[in-house]
Order: sequence, then C-alpha cells, then structure tokens
Amino acid sequence: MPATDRDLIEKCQQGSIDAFEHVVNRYQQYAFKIAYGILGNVGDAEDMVQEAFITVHRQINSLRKGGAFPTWLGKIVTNLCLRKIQKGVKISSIPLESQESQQLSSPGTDQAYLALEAQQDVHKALLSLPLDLRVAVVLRDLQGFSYKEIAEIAGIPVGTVKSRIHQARTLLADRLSFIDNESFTEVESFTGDEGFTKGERR
Amino acid sequence: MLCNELKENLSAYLDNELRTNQLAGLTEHLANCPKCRAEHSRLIKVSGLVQNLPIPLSTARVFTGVRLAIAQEEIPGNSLQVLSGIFSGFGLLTIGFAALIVYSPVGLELLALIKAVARNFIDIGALAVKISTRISTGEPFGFWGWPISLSLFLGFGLAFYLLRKVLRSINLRGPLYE
Repeated sequence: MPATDRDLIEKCQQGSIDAFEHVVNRYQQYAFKIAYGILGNVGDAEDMVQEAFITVHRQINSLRKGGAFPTWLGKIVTNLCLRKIQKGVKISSIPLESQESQQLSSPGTDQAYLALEAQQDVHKALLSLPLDLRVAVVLRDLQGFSYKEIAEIAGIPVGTVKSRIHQARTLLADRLSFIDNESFTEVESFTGDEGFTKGERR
Repeated sequence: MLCNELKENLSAYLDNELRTNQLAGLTEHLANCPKCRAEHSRLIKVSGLVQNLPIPLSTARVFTGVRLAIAQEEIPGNSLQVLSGIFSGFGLLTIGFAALIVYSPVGLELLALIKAVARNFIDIGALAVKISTRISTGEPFGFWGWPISLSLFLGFGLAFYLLRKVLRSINLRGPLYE
C-alpha cells in the first residue's frame, strides 16, 4: 500500500530523504502542470518545479500538522512563477513545445490538424490573459483547485477568485472564435498523443 | 432577475461553487433565458478546452537536481552563516565597547578593566601552560605536591584580586597598569 501524503510529510519533517524523494516523484507532474500553465514554457516550468521543491525541503517544518500539502505546494509554485514573471521572464510565444511540432509535421487527418490548431489557439489565448486572470483559470481548470483553495494560494478573497475566473473564461471565449462554429464539437473530442497528459482535474 | 447580474455567476455555477440560494434562482433563469444559456454553453466549452489542454510530461530529474542544490546550499551556506554570525557578533561587541569607552562617564575605568581582564587571562593561560607542561613531562609532585600547587594557585588568584581592589581604590581615574 503506498504511503499517504501525511506519513510522507511527517517523515520528511523528521529528515528522511527517501520520503522526500517519494514526495518529489509523486508531485513533480502536479507542480509542473501549474508552472507550465502559468509560464507556457517547459524549460522555465521545470526550473520552477525544482526551485519549488528546494523551498519545500527548506520549509517543510513550517507545514502545520494535517495541513494540505498539494495546496501548499501549489502556492509555492505559483508564487515562484509570479516572481519569475515579475523579474521579466519572456512568456513563450510558441505553445506546446517541440513535441507538438513533430505531431504537426507527421501525416494525419484534417480533424487532427484542426484539433492541434485549436489547442495551439487555446494555449496562446491562455498565455495572452492578464497574469492574475491566467493564474486563477490555470489553478481552476488545469489543476482543479476549489475557489477556496485558489483564494488561499493567491492570497485573495473567494469573491475575487470567482470574478477572476469568470473574466478569464469570458476573455478566452471572446478570443477563441471557433467555439461558436458548428464543427467545434469534433475538434474538442480529439485526444492527444503520447508524451502529453491532459489537464484533468485532481 | 437581470441577465447581467446572473452572468457574473455563470462560471461559479458551472464550477459548483454557488451557494444554494443563488443556485435555485440561476437554474430557473437558465431554463427560461436562451441568451444566458448560450453564454453558459460557451463557458463550458472554454473550461473544457483548458482542462483538455495537453500538458507535456515533465521528464526532468527533479529530485537529483533538488538534492544537489540542497547539498551545495547547505555546506557552504551553513559555514558562511556561522562565520558571518561570529564576525558580526564580534563586530557588534567591539562597537559596543568602543561606544561605552568613548561616551560613558566611566569610560577610562572600563578601558582599564578590559585591560586588566585581558592581562589576567594571559597570566592564567601562561600558568595553565606551565602546570600542564610539568604534568605532561611527569615531574614528581610527591604527596604534598598537588595540595601545595593548588593552594599556591588559589593564593595567587586571591592576592591578585585583592591587589587589584587596592590599586583601584588608590587610583580611580587612571589606568591600572600604566
């Protein structure tokens, strides 16, 4: 039976490096998803994930007993990404990295091309959102945090979270004109290839 | 209910984040308002698109990097912290003493006291070295050797203390050993 988060965190707090390795392996993709959603670049996102786990290691004893580790980690990753952007990191204008380019160059159906184009448009639109709106919608739709958790992570009231998520979705809907097309449902049903995970909720 | 008021709640509605009293009103409105229903449908599509956005798999060996960073950070970081702590401690003490000597009305006496303490320490250190040398070379102390040595040591200490007291009472304004 795999160890629970609580057990692992307790062991980490006692100084177990094995338990910390388990935590890193368990939450690497989780943290990466948030960082990638905010930064839109694999390299920067991986740097932030590494920074985040270094911070986790340093501050693991400040996590109160029974405190939610995923929310705490989400807060660390988000804050690091925001700091990086404030320092002037260039947001990727080429979404979905090289793996996608390979997919685009390989032979495929029209539907697949349309789907990939749609995904690129979504990613571009997401990255074009104002930072506070982007963070809110990434935490909600990409990672599946509740409004209360997002409020805790971003340090804002729940009402502001609600308003930011709504503004973000409205802006995205306005920028993604294809969602009003009849063919949209076919595009939406396309699923990605290997090497990608879907932005499923937790 | 006005559409504009309700639209604000559409995202929270699809996220199941509305309070029960708001939920009933909005559900009823959506059933009767095609415009809001269309907007709701758009928001569902957008939310679905973001949720289904393909996320690359993070293949970086994060743990190895983290472990290396921690190791690099801890060793020099700790010794640096200790060193800087010691230096800043000494620095603060020195500045504090200097300020006391310069600004205190009994500054000269304090300076003299510091000098006396320093000399005492030097004398004590020299004596300790002598005693340890004699012990380590194995010179015979005999039966009375130890108590005599100890008495002499304590006697010297007491004499020194009394002498200092006398000197201080004689020359209160000047350095003791100058």
